[in-house]
Amino acid sequence: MRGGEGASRAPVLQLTNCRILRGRRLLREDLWVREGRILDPEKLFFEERLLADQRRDCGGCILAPGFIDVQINGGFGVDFSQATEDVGSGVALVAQRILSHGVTSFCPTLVTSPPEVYHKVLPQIPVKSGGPHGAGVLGVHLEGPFISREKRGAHPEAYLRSFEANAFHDVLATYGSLDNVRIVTLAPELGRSREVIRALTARGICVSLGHSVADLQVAEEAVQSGATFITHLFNAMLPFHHRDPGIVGLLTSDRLPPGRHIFYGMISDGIHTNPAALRIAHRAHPQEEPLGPSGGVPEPGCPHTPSSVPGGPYPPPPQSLPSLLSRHQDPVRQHSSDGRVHPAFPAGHRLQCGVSPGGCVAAPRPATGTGEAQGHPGLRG
Amino acid sequence: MRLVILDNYDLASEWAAKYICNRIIQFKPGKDRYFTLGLPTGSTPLGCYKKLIEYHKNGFLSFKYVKTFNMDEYVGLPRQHPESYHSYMWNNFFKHIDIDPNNAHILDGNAADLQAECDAFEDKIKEAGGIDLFVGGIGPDGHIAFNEPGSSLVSRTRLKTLAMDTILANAKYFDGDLSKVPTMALTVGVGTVMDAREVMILITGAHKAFALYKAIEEGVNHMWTVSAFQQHPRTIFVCDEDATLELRVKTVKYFKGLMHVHNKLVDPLYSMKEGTEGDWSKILLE
Repeated sequence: MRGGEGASRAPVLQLTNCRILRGRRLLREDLWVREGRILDPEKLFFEERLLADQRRDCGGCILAPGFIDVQINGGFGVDFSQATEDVGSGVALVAQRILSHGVTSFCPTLVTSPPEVYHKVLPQIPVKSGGPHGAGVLGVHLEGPFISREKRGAHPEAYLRSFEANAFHDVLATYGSLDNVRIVTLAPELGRSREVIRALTARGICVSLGHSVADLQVAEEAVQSGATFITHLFNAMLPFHHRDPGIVGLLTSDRLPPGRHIFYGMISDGIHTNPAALRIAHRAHPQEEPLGPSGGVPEPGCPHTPSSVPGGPYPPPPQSLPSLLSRHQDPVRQHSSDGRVHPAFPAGHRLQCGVSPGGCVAAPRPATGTGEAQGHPGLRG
Repeated sequence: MRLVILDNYDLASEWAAKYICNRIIQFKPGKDRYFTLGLPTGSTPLGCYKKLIEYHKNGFLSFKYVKTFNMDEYVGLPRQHPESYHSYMWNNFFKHIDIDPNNAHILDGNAADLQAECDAFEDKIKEAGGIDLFVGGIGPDGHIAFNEPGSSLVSRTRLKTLAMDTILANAKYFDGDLSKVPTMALTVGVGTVMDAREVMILITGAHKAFALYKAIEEGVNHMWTVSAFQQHPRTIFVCDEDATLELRVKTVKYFKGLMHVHNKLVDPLYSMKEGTEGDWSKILLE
């Protein structure tokens, strides 16, 4: 049944028998889409006077915005920090394989490396739209080398650097071009970090604090200079202390610029952090969005194998967020302990009208057995 | 009139839904023969709408050849406001069924010329061939639609200012804040509803009991506008026990005694699916 328009009008697709994430709740609602944009069906009914042209039964699945993985070092045998001639293939492979884990966009992450590696690798990882072929590349996440020696974790000490001498020029000299860079993790206690943070944010690059021994005041100053993210909260930073909460204290700091949101990633594999710690972080500031890197630990075959990383052995991969999710009753609800759900990402995407979903995922109903998350890359906006 | 008394809200809602369902199916609607239905809003008909949706989802009832005309809409409330009657009808009914959006008519409370909008609504009803079954409710002050006490019993679709009783009753939908409740509405007139070939009034709850008493046991009176239907040839009042609390025992006994006759109107329950005529409870339990 149509309104008065001709057959050239774009078809309206109605996804039925599904649960969608809206207003921080899972609702039993149909999702209406036309030309890759989510529609307000009430408006469609009363103003355009149209019904759906096609209907698709989603079998009770959850339709959620695809996960955005902002910290993933590789996977499936690929290590993004390895300077090969064909980094692009590795990125494409990972992009394709993470789709079934519900990730529809990601930031390939490079750990601390010598300048030659950055100069060779970065130009080979352009920003790329996702689709059925693979998750979209939002830009590279450069985790290091401007980080704390003490908190370097698994990063190679030899390649740590400082920008005390020439601030932003040191940054450019180290990385080469910043064209494909989306996030930089640095330690704000390093000299001239505030200048560097301002210069990076002026170029639209997200600055994240991590691998650092900064106290709360230094962290607050970094945020005032433009930092908006915390890399794997709790790990590779000073632990929370009641007289100086350190970087963790940013979650409840009252010295942040008004209206500024702090986002944080967490490695929620149950090994890097205790779930109780994650819940404390979430309850401290429920509006702030926690994100989980999907690649918790590198696989054998990557340079950072269990044998080469101090403190090993590590559990078999992928002890990652998506596979954790697949083992739980209600994958999306697992983001939050109090039963509320957050579409977990800082880019502001929501399943709201007028927005291109930018990749949506159908998460299956809880199955009786465990197994891999079987998402379907559903829509492409 | 028929006064159909069921034990509770759920049974009353179900009876009403079955009646509507049977009327539509027995009418045999088709491409050149639409069934026209007048529809109410508010908390009373919610149970009835849920049942109709259930019948639709089970494949027994289609609204493809049904045209609907809602009774009223607030003035000045944006169409997408969660308390507008457009939103109510979309969320509680239209989005769950297969009605053609071009056949779902609701007054536009934001029209530039409100009286013209009302006149056009009357014309649309006329063009559709009049209303086959107008379903309505009753306010605590005995009003039908927004025909507040004092409304002419031969009134047509027009702009009305709401009475304080109505505003108080509606406050619960606006966070209890009286200042947020709309004070004006477009409404079909008493005369408009009287023109329908059949009228069904749903009345449930003790708070409606006095209004029901005034509507059917006292005279026709413009202070209790539902009383106008005493002069309509085919009116059914469907209510629950609580709504009868202010009626005379004699009245209630008489009509309860007629339930075996009333129930013939809903049993057998018809269905648009082939081979499923008869008692649906057997089918649904399978």
